[in-house]
Amino acid sequence: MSVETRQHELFNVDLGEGVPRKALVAGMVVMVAWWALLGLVMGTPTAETATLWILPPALVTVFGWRESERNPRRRNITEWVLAVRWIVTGHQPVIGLGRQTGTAHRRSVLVRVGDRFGNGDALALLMPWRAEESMQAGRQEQPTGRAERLGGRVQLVGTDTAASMRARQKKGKGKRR
Amino acid sequence: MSLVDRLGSLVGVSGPRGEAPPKYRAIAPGLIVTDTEVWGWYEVRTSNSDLKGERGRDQEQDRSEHALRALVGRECQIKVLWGEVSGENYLRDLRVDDLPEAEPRTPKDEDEGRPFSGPEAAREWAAIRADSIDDFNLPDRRVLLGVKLADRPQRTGEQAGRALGLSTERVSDAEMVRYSALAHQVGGPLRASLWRVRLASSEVLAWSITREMHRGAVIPREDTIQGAGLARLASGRFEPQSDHYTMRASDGSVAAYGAVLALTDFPEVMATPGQEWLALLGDIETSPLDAADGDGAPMFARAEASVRFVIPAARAARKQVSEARKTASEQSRSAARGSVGEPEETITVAEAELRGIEFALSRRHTLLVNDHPRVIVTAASRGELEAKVTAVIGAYDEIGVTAAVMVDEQREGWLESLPGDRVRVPDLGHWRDSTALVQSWFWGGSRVGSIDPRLPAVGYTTGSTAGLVRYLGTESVRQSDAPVTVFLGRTRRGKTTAMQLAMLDAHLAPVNLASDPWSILVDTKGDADGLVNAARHYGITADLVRVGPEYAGALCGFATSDPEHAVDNVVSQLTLCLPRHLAEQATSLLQRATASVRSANTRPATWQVVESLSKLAETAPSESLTREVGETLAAITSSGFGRLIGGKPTGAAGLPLRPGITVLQLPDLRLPEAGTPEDRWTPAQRVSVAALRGVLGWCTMLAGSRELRARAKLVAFPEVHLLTATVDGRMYLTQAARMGAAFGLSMLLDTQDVSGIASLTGLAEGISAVFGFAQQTEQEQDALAKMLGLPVDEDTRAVIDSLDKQPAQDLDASDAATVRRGHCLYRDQSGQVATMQWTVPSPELRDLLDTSAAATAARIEDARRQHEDGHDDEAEVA
Repeated sequence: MSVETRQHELFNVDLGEGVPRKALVAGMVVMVAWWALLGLVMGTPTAETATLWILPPALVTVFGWRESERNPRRRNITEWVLAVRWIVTGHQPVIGLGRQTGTAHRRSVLVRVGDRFGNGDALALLMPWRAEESMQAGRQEQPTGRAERLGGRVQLVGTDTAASMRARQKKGKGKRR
Repeated sequence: MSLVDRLGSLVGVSGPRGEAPPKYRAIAPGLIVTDTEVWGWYEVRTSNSDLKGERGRDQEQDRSEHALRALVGRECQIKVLWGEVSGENYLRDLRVDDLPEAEPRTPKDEDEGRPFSGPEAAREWAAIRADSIDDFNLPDRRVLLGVKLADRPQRTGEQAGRALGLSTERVSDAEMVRYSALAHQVGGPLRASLWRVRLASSEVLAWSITREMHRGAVIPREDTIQGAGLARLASGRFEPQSDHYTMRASDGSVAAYGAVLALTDFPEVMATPGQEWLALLGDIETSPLDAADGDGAPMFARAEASVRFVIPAARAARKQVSEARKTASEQSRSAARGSVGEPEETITVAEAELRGIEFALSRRHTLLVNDHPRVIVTAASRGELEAKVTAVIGAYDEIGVTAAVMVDEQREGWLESLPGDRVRVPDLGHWRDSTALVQSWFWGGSRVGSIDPRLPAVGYTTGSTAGLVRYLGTESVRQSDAPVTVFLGRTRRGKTTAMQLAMLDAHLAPVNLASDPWSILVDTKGDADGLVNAARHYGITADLVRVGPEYAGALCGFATSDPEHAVDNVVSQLTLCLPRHLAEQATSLLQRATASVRSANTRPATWQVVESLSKLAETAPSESLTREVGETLAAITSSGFGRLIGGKPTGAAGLPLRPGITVLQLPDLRLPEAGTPEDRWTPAQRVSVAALRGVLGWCTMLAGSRELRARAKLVAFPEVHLLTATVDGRMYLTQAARMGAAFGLSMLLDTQDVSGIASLTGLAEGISAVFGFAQQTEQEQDALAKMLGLPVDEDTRAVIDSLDKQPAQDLDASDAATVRRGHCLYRDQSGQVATMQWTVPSPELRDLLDTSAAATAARIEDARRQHEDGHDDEAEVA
């Protein structure tokens, strides 16, 4: 139950059918962010670079505000943001319902990107030096991480020996004190 | 609202997506306490709605909508989960463990084939039932309703405790008591509602959490689960992928794959029946084409659901609607000022609709619901998961609902479905009329049979939800209710087997052990000796009695009915024996003779009537009616079944009155085919039917004897349609049923003639249970529908017609032609009707009971071979 609000005029300029207000605001935010970034990298805009300054934020706003094909209740931009979110934090496991937090990413960012937008193998084609890692990611069954060597020497200790060892330990403590 | 939240909501990513998972602190009956919240949990009872007519369904829907009013203003969650009907629980319900210990069987007992003792036999019987229940692998649908009771504020004391390392995370007893009272208080109105909710047990709640972890943690059998036990339940590793998730076992291998789907779009108007969007979960099957691995056989998707919803209080709802409406109005005004002139259609329509809703809300005609439905699919492999997800999406598509995998939000979706969590993805929710929620029919299903868990399960329901059907033939008499169970339907549909199983149950049910039941099966076809074998196999005393000349006079009308109706019964029994042309005229003659015999003797009997008539005949002129009747009767009663009715008792034999099963075989009984009109019956058939009547009366009178007074008593009587074919036969049946009821006798009647039984008002009142098997003619189908209390319409007829067809999913070429046996409609004591399948607990028992000719032949052959083997052994020894 929400009504999409549209702006029908802006600064006394008639906008015809109207522009969704949220798109307008978001467009501005994207624009400002992009300009700030470009400004840091390239300094002030020139006539040659004007396209670079204007086009990307405009495209993001226009295509981002299109209805998503997969889920008509959402905008494309929502899906984009969620995809990025999955790659950054959304892929983290939930262990024991949060009693434990995942300590490290099991897969590197690039593999995660590969996972998100295709399968690991596609990434292997693009980045052969990552092939091994992406193969592992593709094979979900394989637990990742370093193998640990388990096992060691087992010593069987009788009760008497254990008691004497314990007594020795106690004595040792006493001496230290 | 922080800047990040603001930016998020700008691009449509608002809501507490990233919040920590719920931290469970305690589970108690009906309660789940997390770090921050307290939820009351209730189990919703499945109602029996599959076969309800349109009106019945509308009523249920209205009542459910009414029940929703109890939840106004609270956060709620409905969870639809699938468990398994397990044999272990069945045994626990039966309380087999409470049975007294039997003396252990010595090897000698076994060698001599001495039967088990009572409790031991009952235990054995329950155990094979439990095994067969496990084999059937029935899905057990559980619907849980969670209601948020309160927030748990963080107390300073606790915080201080934590800082000092003294905190134990324990919820204090006082706090638990307070919450428990709250849970009872909130659940009160719901308990009285259609849903009949009860507090969910700790065990169920623990199960609902730990099952999501796929680690098979052992559920503690405690009332309050806290601390380490709780931590174990919640241990698991969930890994979200972008369009599915994996659960890992403790050794790091994948324990399960899953996917969370959101129901994003619903049609504007939903119609029921047809669009029950939660009830359909039980029926979703994968298509063989989708199955990427395995043998490609279709399987049930068993998708589960979690619906979080809030019904805002009237004022809040009105405010919400009115704000939306104001925005819409502002939009149309703003458009009017611009060059477009008029606003978009959607805005105008929305404005009008919102105005309508606002009005309905102010008049309290409707409730507004904000709900977030999710469907969770789990599978053992990726291929299976994909097939199941496709099936779920397809099934929802069919009813016009869009189901979509929550891409990149599997973590959020999964956490949302956990009890005690919250809505994390708010933008896929729905604001709508509460009817839409009610139309999900989450409580609907099929349920029939006694709710007393100590009764044996004779089968399972085959409707939209599966469940055990508990039935015990002697139970309604114990509750002083109507004593008759009828089995209706065509031959070879499993009626006889069902009846025999019911008899075995009467003897082996733990509740009946103390009363040491006595029961008789009247066998007119001579094929029920299987029951005797089966009974002996399970340690029940069993006798096979072949009724021969030594029982002369046993079926006499005087001996087999109460004194009040004796004369009438003797007359009609004798009339039935006479040829058609004599019968009508002889009535008054027989009446006189019978009356005088009765007044002259202290112990009147039919043979005396026959004797006095033949004496009269000797003196009467030839060709006269008296002479003809007298001589005919004398001839009829001198041999065969006539002798049993009107012969002089030899006093040699009686029926066993000790506890156990007696099979009363009437070989050579020449019963007419069902549906043959009375005037076409041959003389032998007439006498047979008259004898059959006598048998029913005989068994009933026996049940009244002193020896059997304290016992549970049961008579199973076949071919009742032959009695109901005639007017006085019908009266007689009603009378016998009444008489039996007075003695506490339970009756199982088997008949092919539904309309005959249905027309007997007197008997119909005495019927507590009806098992209706397949019928073909429309007339019989309608009569059965009436008997069952179902609406007489096309739908019911289709259901009855299809009872003996194999279910579609099991169909392959070899099965297509076979008749489905034991599948029937059952109307129980409380008037609920559902389709059910009788089950024979073990193949061994099936062989023992099988009444088909081939099986009988095989059994005889076996016996012969064994006999021969025995001889061979002896020969070797010699």
